Amino acid sequence: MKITQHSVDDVTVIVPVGRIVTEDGDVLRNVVDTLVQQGRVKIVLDLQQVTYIDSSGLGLMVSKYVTARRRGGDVKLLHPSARSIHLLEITHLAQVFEVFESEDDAVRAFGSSSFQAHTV
Amino acid sequence: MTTMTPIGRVLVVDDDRALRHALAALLQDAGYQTEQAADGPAALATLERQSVDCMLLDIGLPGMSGLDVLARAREAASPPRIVMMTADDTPDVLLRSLQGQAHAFVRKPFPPARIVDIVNDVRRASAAASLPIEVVSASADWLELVAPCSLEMAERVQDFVMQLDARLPDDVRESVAQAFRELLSNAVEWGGRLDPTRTVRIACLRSKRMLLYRISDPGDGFDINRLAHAAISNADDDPLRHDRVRQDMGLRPGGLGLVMTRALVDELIYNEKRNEVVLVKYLD
Repeated sequence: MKITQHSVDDVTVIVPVGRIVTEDGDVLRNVVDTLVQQGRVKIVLDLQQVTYIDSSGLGLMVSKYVTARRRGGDVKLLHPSARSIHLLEITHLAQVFEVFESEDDAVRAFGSSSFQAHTV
Repeated sequence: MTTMTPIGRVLVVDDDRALRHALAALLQDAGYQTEQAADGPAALATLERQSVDCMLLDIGLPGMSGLDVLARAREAASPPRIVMMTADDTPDVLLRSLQGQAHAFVRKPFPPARIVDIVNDVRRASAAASLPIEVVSASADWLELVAPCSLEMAERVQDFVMQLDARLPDDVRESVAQAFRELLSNAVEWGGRLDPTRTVRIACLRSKRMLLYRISDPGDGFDINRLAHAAISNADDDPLRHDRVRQDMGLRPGGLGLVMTRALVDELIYNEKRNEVVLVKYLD
């Protein structure tokens, strides 16, 4: 899995490419953990280029959501596929994660502006 | 001028000259050293001359078929991992490839760039991923395997099995694939403790009206009443309870496989010990 990220003020948009699965989970886990250690707990997870999520991947997203919420932040989901939305629904996580179809809307839900980009 | 050390050596075997050259060029751009062969004897001669890490092998070769080359290549002192390629979408070639211990199987046509991802996955796979899979029954209606307990093996088996289901509607195929993967991963991880010397037994049965998969693992099973760390035990209005329990127990994130699988298939049946599970998906 490859991950890029960019910042909009205090919101970080993470863009994983590939699968969020047992074997590849460490990459996403490390990126989020690093952000949280830096106090950047407002996170948008853009799923547009995610091809597959297994239960471990979904569990990882839940874990990082809980971590961010405990520190006053949040993890919001952007561009989930119909398949991903179905998985959220059948695991009752649709009532946990906020889902957006536009990055502006997702970022605005935190209340931020201005753009900086870098790649992990 | 600098010379990059190749990340691996790949033999591309296909009688379609344009495709063979295109695949070789893509792999070279990705850092691989490539060899090419247009038929089976040339491929086997190359393998005798030098070792290769991966062989992309077309099944429909003139004269000696790719399946015959597969059987002969497995006898080499240091056999490569072999990815079968074919435009034939019948189950027979897939099953014969599996019997021949092919590492992966890809149907033509495929986006050329996909082959780089496949070869990268093959290169990165651990030794456990190449351990032999015993084919107990190779009928398209009744496929039965005994396979070592590793996650890479589980992925390899899932890929083969789901290609047998390639003609199903997308939503059915995706649901079954996900459920099968979850249960097989559980079997090798929790039942087999990721110990490749232990095995899981997998049966995939197909009738006109249903798909049935049975997975038996070598573990002691589990107690459904002691799964507070799994989302299946959550109250509907507390979907994060299992995560709190897992954190208290020091478990890695997860616990969603069972609740996910139950929703994706029509029936999920465990034996008394719960080290054997059957999933059923009805097709009408």
